[in-house]
Amino acid sequence: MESHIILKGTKEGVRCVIPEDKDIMELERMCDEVLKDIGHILRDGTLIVDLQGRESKEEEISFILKKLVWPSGATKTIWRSYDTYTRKVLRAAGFNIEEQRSGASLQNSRGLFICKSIRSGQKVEHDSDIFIVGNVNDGSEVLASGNIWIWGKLQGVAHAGCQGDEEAHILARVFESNQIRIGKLYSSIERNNSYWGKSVLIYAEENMLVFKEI
Amino acid sequence: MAARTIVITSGKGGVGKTTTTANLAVELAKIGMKVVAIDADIGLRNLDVVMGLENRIVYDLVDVANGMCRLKQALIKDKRFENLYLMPAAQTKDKTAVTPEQMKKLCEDLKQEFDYVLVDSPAGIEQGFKNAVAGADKAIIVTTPEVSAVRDADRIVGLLEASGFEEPKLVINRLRPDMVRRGDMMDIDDMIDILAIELLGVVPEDEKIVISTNRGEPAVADESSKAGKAYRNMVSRLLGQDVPLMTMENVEPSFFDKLRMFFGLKART
Repeated sequence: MESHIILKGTKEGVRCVIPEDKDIMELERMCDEVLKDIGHILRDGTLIVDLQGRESKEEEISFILKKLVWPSGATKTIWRSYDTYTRKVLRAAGFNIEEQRSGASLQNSRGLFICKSIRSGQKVEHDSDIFIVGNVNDGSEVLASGNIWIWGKLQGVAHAGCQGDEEAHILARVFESNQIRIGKLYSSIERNNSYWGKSVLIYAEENMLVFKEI
Repeated sequence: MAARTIVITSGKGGVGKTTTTANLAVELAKIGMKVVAIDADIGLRNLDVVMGLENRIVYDLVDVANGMCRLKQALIKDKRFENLYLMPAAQTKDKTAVTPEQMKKLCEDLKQEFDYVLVDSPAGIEQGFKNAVAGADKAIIVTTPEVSAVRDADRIVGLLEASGFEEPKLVINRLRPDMVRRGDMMDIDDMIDILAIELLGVVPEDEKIVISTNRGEPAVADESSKAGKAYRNMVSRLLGQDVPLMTMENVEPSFFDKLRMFFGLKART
């Protein structure tokens, strides 16, 4: 497990990804580390605090402000989180939240286009949409932070919006999968399900996965 | 002609790799090829039993790999079929007893002396499998018409393709046309749709296989065996001949169908 803040240079600024599982004491050490290593880069630039799925209560947000954001000298800070509670806290405080990405084209991230079948045991992961012309066989996994479109049979596990985007969707020409995931929602499917073998669009609505035959 | 080294593998256990290896080896030898079958299932050897040669094992491939004996000392010549040899596995060791590099060298050495080197792979995807594929340049994947077997076969095909094996071939074993017709068993097209590799042959369920395996007399030698005929056809296809698949009508009707036909009723399956 990571015990450092991961730094990524992006067009918008420097992204600091905070590990989900470290407690507040570790956080202080990690923030000091970042300021020591790249404090000079953050100064006068944009800082993106990426909390990922970490459930950060008010106290932790204040802590990050005091230990990282203000000492960094950044002129602008954007917060990112896909945890529902944390987003509520940030929104209530009026913070600048990086919006969840959705839709067919994600900024700065091209879709992944695969023109062959995915075999059992293989795993495809991509930070954007994934388009597959071929089958996704039983025992394989496809994970996209965006949407997943399969022009073939979906028999393996497809996880769209795997970084928390519940606006992502899955499209399959022939649906024969036992489990589908969107964001943090998942659905186990029985074979006698009425969508089995059909062309389907799957999306999330009111915390449930919705299947629509197309 | 350079020798062909073919690994017979499956992922899933018990689908018929050893039976397939033995039958292909015997049929190739019968038509005049010089063949060696290698049992790569160290610790759980079975090829010797299926070929009826288990009482003649003195040295095995682990002994050869470790330099305890010469290659020729471990090879067992089958007295019933000219030009057919077995390289047995060790039973008292396990799959860590040889390395892929040692297997590759063994296959290279055998290639000098034989037309065909067939490697009977153990089940799984770990050391045993890696040893078995190390020296091979072609692969035959055996599966039965069951979801779990097909999924395992798919995994194996993926691993083989990633290792550079081109055009692996498929053998579908233990097909029951009556069950396929009832929709209780996967049909050939479904399996090829998932696995997407060329079909070498289909072997129907045949109780004669149990008898032949126990007796150490491969089914290809039995003219009345349907499975034997399927294996003979497979060898013809391996050699480039275009042999049509045996059709369902060729399969023996079930007992109840025969009873129905006796009473003048149509067969149900």
